[in-house]
Amino acid sequence: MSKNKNPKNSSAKQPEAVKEEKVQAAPAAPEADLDIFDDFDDDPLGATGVSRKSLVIFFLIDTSGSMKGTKMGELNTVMEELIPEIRRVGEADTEVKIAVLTFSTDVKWMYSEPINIEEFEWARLTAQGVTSMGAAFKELSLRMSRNSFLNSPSLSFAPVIFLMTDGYPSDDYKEGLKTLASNSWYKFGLKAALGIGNEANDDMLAEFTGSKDTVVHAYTGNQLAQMIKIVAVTASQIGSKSMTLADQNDEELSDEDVYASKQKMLGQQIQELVAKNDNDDVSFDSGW
Amino acid sequence: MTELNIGQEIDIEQGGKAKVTGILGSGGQGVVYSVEYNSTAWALKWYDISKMKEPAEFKANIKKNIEDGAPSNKFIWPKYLTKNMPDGTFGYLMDIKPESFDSFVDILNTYKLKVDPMTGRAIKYNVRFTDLTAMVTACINIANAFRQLHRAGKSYQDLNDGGFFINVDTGAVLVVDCDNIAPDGANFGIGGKPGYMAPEIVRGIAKPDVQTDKYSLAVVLFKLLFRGDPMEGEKVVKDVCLTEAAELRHYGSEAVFVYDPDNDSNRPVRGIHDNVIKFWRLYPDYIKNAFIDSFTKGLNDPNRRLIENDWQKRFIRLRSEIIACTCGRKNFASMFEAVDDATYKCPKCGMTFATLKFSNREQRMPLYIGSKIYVCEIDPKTDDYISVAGELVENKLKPGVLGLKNTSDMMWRVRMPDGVYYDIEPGKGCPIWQGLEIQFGDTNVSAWI
Repeated sequence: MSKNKNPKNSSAKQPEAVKEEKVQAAPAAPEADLDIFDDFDDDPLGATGVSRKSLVIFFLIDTSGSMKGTKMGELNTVMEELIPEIRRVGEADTEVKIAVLTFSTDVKWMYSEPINIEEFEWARLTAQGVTSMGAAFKELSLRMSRNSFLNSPSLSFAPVIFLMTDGYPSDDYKEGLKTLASNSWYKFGLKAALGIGNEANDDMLAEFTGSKDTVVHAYTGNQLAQMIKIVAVTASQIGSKSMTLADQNDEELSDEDVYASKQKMLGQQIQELVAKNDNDDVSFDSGW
Repeated sequence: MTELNIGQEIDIEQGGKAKVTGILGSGGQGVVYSVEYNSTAWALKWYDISKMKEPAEFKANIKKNIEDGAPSNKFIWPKYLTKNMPDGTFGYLMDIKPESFDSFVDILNTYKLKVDPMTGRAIKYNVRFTDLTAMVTACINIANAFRQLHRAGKSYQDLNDGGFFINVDTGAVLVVDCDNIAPDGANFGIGGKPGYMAPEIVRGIAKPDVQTDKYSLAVVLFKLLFRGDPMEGEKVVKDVCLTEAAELRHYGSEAVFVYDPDNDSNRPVRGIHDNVIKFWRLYPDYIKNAFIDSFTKGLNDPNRRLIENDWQKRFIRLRSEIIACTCGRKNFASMFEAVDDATYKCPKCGMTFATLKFSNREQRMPLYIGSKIYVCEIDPKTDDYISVAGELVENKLKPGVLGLKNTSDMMWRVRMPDGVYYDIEPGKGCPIWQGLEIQFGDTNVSAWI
C-alpha cells in the first residue's frame, strides 16, 4: 500500500542476488507460531486489506525528437486521463502498479520504482533525441526481476508491457530484444505495442509482442488516445475480471492449452475494439 | 458498442422512454448509466453486445427473469428491458443501489476511494464492519440469498466479490449483477472470476451451475471472514508469478485448501496472509469445519459442498454465540474463558456471563445486555432469522436488574423463584435468575438457565 519512491529501499527488501532468474524462487517464510499476536489482538473485525496479487504495468514510451508536438501532447493528456480510469481495475484481488520507462538518446524511468496506481501521478514528458529502443529493452529486462521492480512479497501476475513508438530504433534493438527474451517475466507477460504515425514499423513491434494481434496503429491524435486507452484498459483487466468460457471442449485443460492464453485473449479483444473504432482515418501527417 | 449520451432517450419495451442522466460505472459487459423513467431514477445496464456470443438468447433469459421476479428483496433484479437499437444493442433497468451499502470489494480492501469533485483527487474512506453481529448477519444473508435463488431453480454463475453490496452497520446484503442468472444447467457464456470459480470450471470440464455456485459461495464467505484467498498459501506463493499454467494448477487440478488438515503444503504465509492466520484461530470448530469440508471433500466432489441452509444454520448459531462485554470486548464465546459448562468469563475484565440452554439444541447461548433470541431459534416451523423474539435488557424502573423481554407475538410461560409459572405477554418481561425456565408459546421449545 505504502508508496516508496526511494530506490535503495526497494532493493534492500531482497538482498540476495539472483542472476539467471526463473520465475520460481521462493521468498516466503513459513507460518510462524501464533504467539506473535498480542493476547487481545483477537478482534474478528480487525482486518487489514485482503492480500492482493501484484500486477505491474510497464509503459515503454518513445520520447525521441520525432514525438515532439501533437503526438507528445496527446500522449501526455491521454495518460493523465487514463490513470484514474484504470485505478480500480484490480478490484480487491490485484494491486496495480505503474512503471514508465522513456527512451530517446537516453533511457529513463519516470520514477525510481513502480508506483501504486492509486498514488501515481503522471509527470509530463517532453520529446528530444534519438530512439534507443534496444537500450530500453535491456533496461527493462534488468528491472523486470525479483530483485528489482518485481519485488512484491506476495504473488504476482505476469506484468503488462506496453510499448509506444513513432519511429524505427536508432540502435540495435534486436540485441536488446534478445536480452529481454531470456527474461521469464517478459516471456509470460502480456505484451502490446502501439505504432504512431507512418514511420512506425508494425512488423518490428510484432517481434516485441510476439504476435500481430497485439500491435495497433494510430495515425491521428484521436486514434492515439483511443488506442492507448483500449490497450491499457484491456491489458490491465485481463486476469482480474470475470471471463467467458472457451467455446470448445469438455476435456480437461492442460498446461499447453492455457499457455499464453491471456496474450491471445488480449489480441482478440484489442482487435475487436480496434475494428469498432476504425472510422477516423485521416493521417497524422496529412491535412496540414 | 453504441454508447449513450446524457439526455438521450431510450425506448423501453413496456412503452415509454428512459432518459439518460449520467454514468454510474462500467464493467466487463458494458456500461451502467443513471436514467429517468416514469419520473423515477433507475440504473440502466447497457450491453456491449459485441462481447456476447448469443445476444438474443441472453436477452430472452433476462426477460424470463423479469417475468419470474426476484427470489427476494435481497436482489437488485432486472425490471424493464429496453428495445433494441438498430445495431442490436440493448440494456435493462434496475433499481439504483442505496447509498448506505458498500461494495464487497471495498470491504475486502477496507477502504474506498471517492473522487473529490473540487480537486479531482481520490480520497480514501474506511470501509469496515462496525459490529461483529453485523458481519455474521451478512454471512447469514448471503447464504440465504443463494438458498432462495437456488430454490427458484436458478444459478448465479458468476459469484464473486463484485456481486454484493453490504451495509456494514447492519449486515444487510444486496446481490447485484443479476443478469447472468439462468436456469440451473443453462449457461450463456460466462465462466466466472478467477479465484472464485470452482475447480472443475477452471479445469475446463464443467460450466457454471448451482453446484459451482456453492463452491463460489464458500469462497465469498471465507473471504468475508478470513480476508484472504482459501487456496493461496505457501505452495502458490512459491511460484512467485501466477502464469496461466500456475493458475490452472493452483485453482484447478492441484488446488489445496490452506487449512487442509491432511495436507499442510499450502499453509498461509506470515507477512502475506496475516489476516487468515489471525482470524482462523478465532472461529469455533463448527465454522472452521464447514470451510474444511467445502474445500477438501467438496473441492473435487460438487455433491459434498455445504448446502446453503447448512451455512445459514451455522452462521445463525455463530450469531447467537457472540458476547458483547460491558468493557467493550465483543467476540465469539469461544474466545471468552469457560468457567464451567454454563458460564463464560471475560478474559479482559473478569465479568461473567450466564447462558441459556434450549430444549432443541446442544449449545448454550450466552446472555449479555442486548443479546437477542430470534424467532427461528424458538420456533422450528420457521427460518425467520430476522425477527427478534426476545432480548436481554436492563429493567428501566429497577436499574441493575436484568431480564428477558418478550418481543415475540407469543405468550411465554416462565418459572419464577417461587416455583410458580407465570404468563409473560408480548411486550412484558421477566428477571433472569438461576433456575429460570421459559416455555415459548406453543412451539414446544423451552429454555432454562
